[in-house]
Amino acid sequence: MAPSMRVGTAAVAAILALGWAGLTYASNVKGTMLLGAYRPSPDPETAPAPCYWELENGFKEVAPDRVDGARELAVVLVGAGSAQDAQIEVPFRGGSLAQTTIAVRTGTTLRLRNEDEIAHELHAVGLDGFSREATSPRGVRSVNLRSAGHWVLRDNLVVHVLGHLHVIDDLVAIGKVESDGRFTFSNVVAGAYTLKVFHGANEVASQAIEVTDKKDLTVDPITLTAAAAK
Amino acid sequence: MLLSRFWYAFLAVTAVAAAAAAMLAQGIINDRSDRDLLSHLRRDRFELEAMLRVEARSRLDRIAFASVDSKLGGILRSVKSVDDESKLREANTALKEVMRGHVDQLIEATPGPDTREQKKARVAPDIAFALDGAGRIIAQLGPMEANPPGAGLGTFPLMKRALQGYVRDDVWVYDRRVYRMAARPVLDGTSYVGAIVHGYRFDAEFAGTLAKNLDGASVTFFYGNSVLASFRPSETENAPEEAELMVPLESVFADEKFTAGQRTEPVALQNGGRAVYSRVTGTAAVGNVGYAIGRPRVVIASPFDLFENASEDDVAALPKPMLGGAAVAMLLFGLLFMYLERDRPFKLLADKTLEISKGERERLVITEWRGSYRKLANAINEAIDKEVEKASSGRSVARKKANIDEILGPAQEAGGGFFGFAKDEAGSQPGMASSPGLPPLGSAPPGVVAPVIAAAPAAPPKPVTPTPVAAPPKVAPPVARATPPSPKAPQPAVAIPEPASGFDQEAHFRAVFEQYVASREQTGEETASLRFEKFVLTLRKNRDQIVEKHQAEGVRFTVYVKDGKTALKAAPVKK
Repeated sequence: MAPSMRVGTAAVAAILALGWAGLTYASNVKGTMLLGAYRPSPDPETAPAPCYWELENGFKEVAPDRVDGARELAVVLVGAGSAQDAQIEVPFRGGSLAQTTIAVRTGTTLRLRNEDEIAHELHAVGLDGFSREATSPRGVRSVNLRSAGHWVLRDNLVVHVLGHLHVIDDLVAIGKVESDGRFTFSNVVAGAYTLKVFHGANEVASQAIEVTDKKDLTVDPITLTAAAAK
Repeated sequence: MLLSRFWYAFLAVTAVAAAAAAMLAQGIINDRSDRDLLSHLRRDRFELEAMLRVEARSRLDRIAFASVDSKLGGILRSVKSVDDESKLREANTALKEVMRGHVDQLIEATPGPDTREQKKARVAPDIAFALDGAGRIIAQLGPMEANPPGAGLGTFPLMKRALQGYVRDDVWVYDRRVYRMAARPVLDGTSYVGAIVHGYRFDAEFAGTLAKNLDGASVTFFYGNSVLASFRPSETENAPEEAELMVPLESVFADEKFTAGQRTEPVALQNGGRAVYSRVTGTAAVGNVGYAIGRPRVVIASPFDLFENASEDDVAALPKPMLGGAAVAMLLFGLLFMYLERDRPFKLLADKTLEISKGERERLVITEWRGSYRKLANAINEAIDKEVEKASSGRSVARKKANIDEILGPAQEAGGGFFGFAKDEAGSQPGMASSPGLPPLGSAPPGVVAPVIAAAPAAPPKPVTPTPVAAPPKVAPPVARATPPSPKAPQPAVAIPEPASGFDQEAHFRAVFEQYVASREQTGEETASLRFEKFVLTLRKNRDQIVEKHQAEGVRFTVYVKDGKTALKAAPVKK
């Protein structure tokens, strides 16, 4: 191919790429969940961990229970369109899943990376293809999720581990959640969506949002209620 | 033999009742033993839980001093939000020294005469962690103490609560091992800077310490189908083995009570024992970490085991005099009844038979016996008769009917009979020992109906035992006195008038006597030796025998002449 033709081909490709990018410009969506007043309903999957003694230390007032948004909540957008990511990664950290509520689109590959010093053997109760399989320290395990639905995650080796997996057909985007309840969706294609918040097995918030071209969207603070549980 | 039969029946019923009582007692004792076993197991579980609770508290107390150790708190504060690996390694090294110092302090503070190694085995943790406020492991002792710092434990419920400020215990499955954990928050000044955690494995010494307090129970701790620790008391016979306790686990894991953290109902073991199962109290319970408490089932296999299982106190409590007395009384009753119904009549029969053999007696009076002995006596008499018939072949055997029983016995059921008084050579009544002087016995030929001399009945009949009638000491052989058959027909005798109401028995006997004397005078027989006093004795005896034998109202005596000889005939008057 002659050099002039090469330059021409490159120019056409650049023009097409720029045109496509202009047509599909994505916006960011961010918001906040009000965790302070949120009183989650008890998870039926886990009874309070039994013990003989649980006493206050007698020196200093104990810290109150609180919901860790980054670990316990999943915020997603549901609607028309394709998913942003074909795979997501959730680490084992601190002896359990770094995210105990996981929401993904059908067909997503879930990567489990073990950052603990002990092995894990996670499985989704009742989900074929997500059976007991050891993930050694520093190891990674991948599971392709083909069936929509909700499954409880259990660990055969670290028995206190409890997670909830939501596999949703029309999931478009997964938000990044901070411990204090703030969340962000990046590069969301313009369109109408439903923002859903999951805590454990429950959907604790749901609201419609409209994402427009070239304009970031800040969602009004979201109040989570156990009553919104499905 | 009636008494003996009743006695045998009584003994049989008593024996069966005793056997039934023993069998019932066996069942009742086994049933109670089972109930006691179940009750024991329920109590065992309750006591084991109480011991585990106390033991958990002691572990929490053991690390109390460490939670306020300023050195520990200072190091943990220094690594807050630090990600620099070298700084974390420095903190790791320093913290290990501090933690080992804590262990030394624990050993030194342990009371008792044990050696340091023994104390160390008791109180030194198998695993220990020092965590910062974010739940990261900064230092640890135990199987993974060489690991670099930075891994986390913050999501474990125990650690989560400790980092909030709670003192708490738990049971963990950590790196496939099971530990009894205790955690306390670490304070530096007024801030929570982390937590200190100690863990102890389930070992045989721990299981033994618990089981010894359960007095004879086997205890096994398990993790799924693996045994963690086990103790079987050697002093308890048939105490369940560890393997026995593990067999039912698959069904136990499916038990609703077990999964709910409660005690299962007692489960039957392979060798007959019973066991209850329960999960441990802690997060490891979800991983089927639990324990089994088993006890042997003590049963009485047969009623004879009652004796073997009786304690000395049981034996001492028996009313031995009463039991011995009852045994002796039963024996005496049996012997008495045997004497009354077998030995005595047999001896009598033997004596009387001996008298016959000695010639002191001619026949047996069958009314002296009952039942089989009477049949035997009758058979003896018949045998005698046959021998007499043989001995006197060609002669009349009429006179062999020696006594009224023979005359009026079973063969005389039609009623009536004959008897007579034969005169012996001395002129006495030879056939009647009590009636010497009376004429010899005789019998009327069949079909001869003599005029009746009615004898008033000795009414009412007396229910008395048969009076020996034919037991005279000397009875002349009747055959020898049998009168040869006479061509003359029997002569009618004079009838004795029928006694009127208000009958005078003595007068009647006198009338019979007079008629008898008169008849003998008519036949030319000797009468000088006849005495009423002897005559009437014989009549009375015969009357009594006939009345009793035939349950008659009275006896009719008839005087008649046969072959020129005077004789008497008696016939019962039916009621």
